[in-house]
Amino acid sequence: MKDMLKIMRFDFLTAADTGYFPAVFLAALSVSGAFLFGPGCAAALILTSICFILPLTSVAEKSEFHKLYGILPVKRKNITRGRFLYIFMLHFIPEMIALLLLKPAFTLKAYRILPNQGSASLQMIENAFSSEFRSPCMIIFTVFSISCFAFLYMEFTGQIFGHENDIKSIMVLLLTVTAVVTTLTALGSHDIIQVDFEKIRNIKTLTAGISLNTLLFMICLLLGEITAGKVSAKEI
Amino acid sequence: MENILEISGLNKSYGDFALKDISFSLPKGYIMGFVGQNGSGKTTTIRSILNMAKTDSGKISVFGLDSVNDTIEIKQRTGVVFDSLYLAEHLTAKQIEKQLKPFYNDWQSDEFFKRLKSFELPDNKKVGEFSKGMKMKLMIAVALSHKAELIILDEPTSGLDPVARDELLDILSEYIEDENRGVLFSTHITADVERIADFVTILHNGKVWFTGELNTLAESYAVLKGAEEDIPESVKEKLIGFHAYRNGFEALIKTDDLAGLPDSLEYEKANLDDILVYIAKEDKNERHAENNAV
Repeated sequence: MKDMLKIMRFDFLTAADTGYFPAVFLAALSVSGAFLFGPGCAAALILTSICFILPLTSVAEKSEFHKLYGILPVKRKNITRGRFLYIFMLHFIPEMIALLLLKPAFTLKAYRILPNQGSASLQMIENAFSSEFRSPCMIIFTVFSISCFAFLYMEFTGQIFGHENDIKSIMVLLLTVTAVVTTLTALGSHDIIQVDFEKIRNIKTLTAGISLNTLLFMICLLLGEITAGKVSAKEI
Repeated sequence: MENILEISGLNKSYGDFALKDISFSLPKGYIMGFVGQNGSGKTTTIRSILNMAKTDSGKISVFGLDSVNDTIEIKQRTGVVFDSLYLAEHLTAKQIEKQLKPFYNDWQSDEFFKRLKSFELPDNKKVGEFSKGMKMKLMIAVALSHKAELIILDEPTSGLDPVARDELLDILSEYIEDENRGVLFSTHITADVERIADFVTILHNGKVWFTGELNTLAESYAVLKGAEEDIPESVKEKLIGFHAYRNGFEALIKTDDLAGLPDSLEYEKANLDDILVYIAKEDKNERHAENNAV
């Protein structure tokens, strides 16, 4: 574990100078900002923030780190595990910051500082803000979880099959998700399976957040372990 | 003499290249030049020592420890300098120090910054903007800051200007003054080896062609010149890298085989460069002979 944390720290320090910290704040601000200006633009801003995270996961490829990893006094398996932990934390930190920033923005109904009060678009935002706080929180949990899973998956396939195949891997992932969702929807519409959406809606925000993050952490450990097993057999 | 590095019967093959029965040792307190043509297997051997490459058979021991089972302990005590910088190019030396520090039990920050100062390396400039010589010095500063007892350098002087090369060799000479340390120095610039090495190992086509003291090598071979018709029949097969010119021939010969040669043949001491060139020529001759036989 100590070695994994060392590698995670190493990756964070490498990324620090490539703009990690500005990116974290941008990610967090865009998420909270999204709720200032209404849920409509949330997706676009959240996606923008994820785009800032994207280059930070490829820090190792920027330098000849494969050589460094060969000479550092750390087990090769722990280097791989550490990188997966780094990717998880790369999402977990901005997720927490976004939640912290969202709370006051929501409580203070910050949209009221915007000009043109009473306009139709502001009315829409007001309606959105009059909903429960938990729904924007759920959006944050969901978006960061999806992003984190995608990056963990890309690291998994990238380390095993090469990062040059990242686009292919993401396409496979998207197609799989689309196929699963379509199948479930089709099965649901024919009453073959029944999804209790009411039950899902009633899940407590905190429970959902903890469950999603725990699930992701487990996926992170699992993918890290599988990748470490495969990669440690390869030569540097 | 206690060996700091010992390789015995190392075999490794991949594709159409193979390391065959590599065996040599480096005693404590000495510098070994590790030479050979490009593709002779120097880097693969170094990667095997560092457990970066898997071996088919053989044993590598560093500080008396097994290179596979004790790799972490070995890496704590070994400094490595590659031909290119393995550190994050967009960071400064100061940031790199912060990154590497937690990995080494004996890391000394004071020593690192002292070395940067003595090597005249700025600690606030991105290391990617350093010249090649500065990058080499930075990797040496890293190696010296965790009290490395063995420094392994893979082609560190290739691409360096003469002044930077000279500085690097001076640093290594100073490092080895502590007799508990060792340096394995791979290069194809033989002049560097002749300047600082005590021992030399020559690799050729994945095999050890010579290993031992540099002085012994220098005394063991000579370059023979003269007219081809003056070569006694019994000596012909002992010539290495025979090459006939319009006015005669040149070849490498063991000094032991010089006795009894006619006075018309001249010889001179072979330097390391000569030896490498004649080994390569011998290779060509053999291939030529094989082709003719076919």
